[in-house]
Amino acid sequence: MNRRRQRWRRLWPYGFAGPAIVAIGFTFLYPLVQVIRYSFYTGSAGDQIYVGTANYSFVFNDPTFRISLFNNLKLLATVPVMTALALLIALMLNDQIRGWRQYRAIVFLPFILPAAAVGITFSFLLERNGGINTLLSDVGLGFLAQDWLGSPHLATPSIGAVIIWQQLGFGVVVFSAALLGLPAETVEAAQIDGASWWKIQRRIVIPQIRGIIEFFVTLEAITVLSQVFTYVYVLTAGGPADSSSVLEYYIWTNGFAQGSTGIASAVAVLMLGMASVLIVIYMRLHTRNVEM
Amino acid sequence: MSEISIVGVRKQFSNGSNALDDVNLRIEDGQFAVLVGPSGCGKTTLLRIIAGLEKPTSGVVKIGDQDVTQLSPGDRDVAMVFQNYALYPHMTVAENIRFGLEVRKLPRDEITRRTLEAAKMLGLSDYLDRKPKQLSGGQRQRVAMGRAIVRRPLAFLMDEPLSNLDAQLRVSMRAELARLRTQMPTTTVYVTHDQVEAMTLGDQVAVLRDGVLQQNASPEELFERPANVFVATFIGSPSMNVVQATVRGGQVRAGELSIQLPPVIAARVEGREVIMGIRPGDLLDARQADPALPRIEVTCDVVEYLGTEANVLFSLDARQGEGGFSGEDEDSEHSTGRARLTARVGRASGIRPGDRVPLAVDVERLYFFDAQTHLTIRSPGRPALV
Repeated sequence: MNRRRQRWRRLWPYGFAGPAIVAIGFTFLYPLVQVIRYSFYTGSAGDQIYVGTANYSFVFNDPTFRISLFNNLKLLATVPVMTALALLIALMLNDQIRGWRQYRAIVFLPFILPAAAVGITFSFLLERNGGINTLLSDVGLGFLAQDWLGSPHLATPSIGAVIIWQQLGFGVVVFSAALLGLPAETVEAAQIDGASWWKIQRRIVIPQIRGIIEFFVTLEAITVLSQVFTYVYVLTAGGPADSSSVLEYYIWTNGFAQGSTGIASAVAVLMLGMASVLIVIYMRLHTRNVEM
Repeated sequence: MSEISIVGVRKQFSNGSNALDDVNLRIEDGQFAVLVGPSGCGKTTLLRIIAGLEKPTSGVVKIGDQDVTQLSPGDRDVAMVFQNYALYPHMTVAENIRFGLEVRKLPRDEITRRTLEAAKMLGLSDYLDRKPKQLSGGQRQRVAMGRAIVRRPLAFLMDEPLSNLDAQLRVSMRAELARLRTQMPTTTVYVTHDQVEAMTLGDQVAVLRDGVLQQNASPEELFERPANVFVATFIGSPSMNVVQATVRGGQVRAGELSIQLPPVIAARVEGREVIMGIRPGDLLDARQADPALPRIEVTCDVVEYLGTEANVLFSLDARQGEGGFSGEDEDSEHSTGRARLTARVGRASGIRPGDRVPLAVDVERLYFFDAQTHLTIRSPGRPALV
């Protein structure tokens, strides 16, 4: 009797955790397993043929895939830029200049706007006769005017600039919160030691929020790898001539526009692999920081 | 020359509150000055003004001959030890100590030499590669000290550096501070709310209350000749007993209490409303005291046994003296309508709560303060005790 009760007690917590485990299994694990399975098949649901790694071979040989992958890697360059800008703004706001709360709110504003709305607004601003070129002409810098979204060389950097504009506020808020949590005395001690503003930021303040900076960099790297579809779709639709396509857009084109679920799934699996590598790097850094 | 002068310093915060009101203070070269007072008295604000971390609303701060009021903290050549140590958490002990020297661009071998020297002086040589979080509270405190002394500044500023340590460690670090002082006789301003620290460490002690400097004197002077009721009750543990009293016909009366004063003392306070003060150690166990001393009989409420002696707490049907330091217990003392007093007696007295206790009053050691101004009433030309 007693033993039965003990066994019941041991199982009791799993009863509470069970529904959550089942829910997570259905919403996360089941699709994941299905995507991996689809990546080895061709054809639509109900009429699938096992093709082994043929989908993977196909995407690696597809020039559009390579362009898309390269564009994602190019967009990764936005991460250090937005991190540096966000950090600089957060450090300046941290000096509690007059109206710093308002400035922070203004900088944060773009982040809460829907990406589609941001994309549409910037597609008007960046078109050949759009607001930015008009402004450049009006201030006598007409020679700098470009076909920002229509040029194969400029389309991806333009998308990158829009991503920086929108994500910057998030970085500022994250870094500001981290900076507010730092004890004021370390900065005061460095001031008394005779350190300049920049030296205090570089040697005292920034190292103390290194963990948060690494977190932000990882998060944004994953974002520009796997969450930029909306910007590309609204601003350039991957054009001109696939020059601004990214992996997500490639998945959408193959999976939804052309019905090649197997190819789309293979690319999704590759993206998951890349994101996992980033997460593992972050976890390693995080563990090292905790140990230090 | 690193004398520190504070001239007419006021500090008003943006919410209108006055943190400091016309503070004038001079700390001689090489002196160890302690700023002491209860929480919120402005002592830390004054220290931060000397450091340059706060700007005074008006007034002047001088270090040596230089007016440093408008100088940034780094240009004042002072070193500060913070209450929570303010160590750089991402740096090792060695990096923490040497940072101030690196910033000042000293030669590399000089930096290393001084760092090792400071570490040796403070017993930190084995911990140079450790991070602050791998150290005990006492070791962190030493690193903070090391960071200050390695700079060889004009003055040390210390903001309650021992308050985060446990009682035992605090005592040993206090002794260590005193030892360091003899090795490095640098001008020091030390903030504390602990009057034992103030009395044991300070060459001079400045007592602050509500942003106003009450008295700046040597520890002995503060104890023996306090300027007012506040200083008298703040300095000394247990606090000086103070009761409202009247002097008529050579007798001082405080409620049920009546004591005949020696003529020389009575002449000075005759006919006045006063606050009478007596330190617990001057209320003696009558069974062992000089029979010539006047006696009172009280009922013991509480006995605090301290090992070598005991505090006997009792109350009198008299009004508590106003203007004194009453710690956290401000309201309760007045609410009972009876004055609470303490006598310090020998451990052999055997007094128990509820006992009727005869106490002898050392009338030569009575203090008298003006009932209105709360200032000490002194005899003209008699700077001694009363």
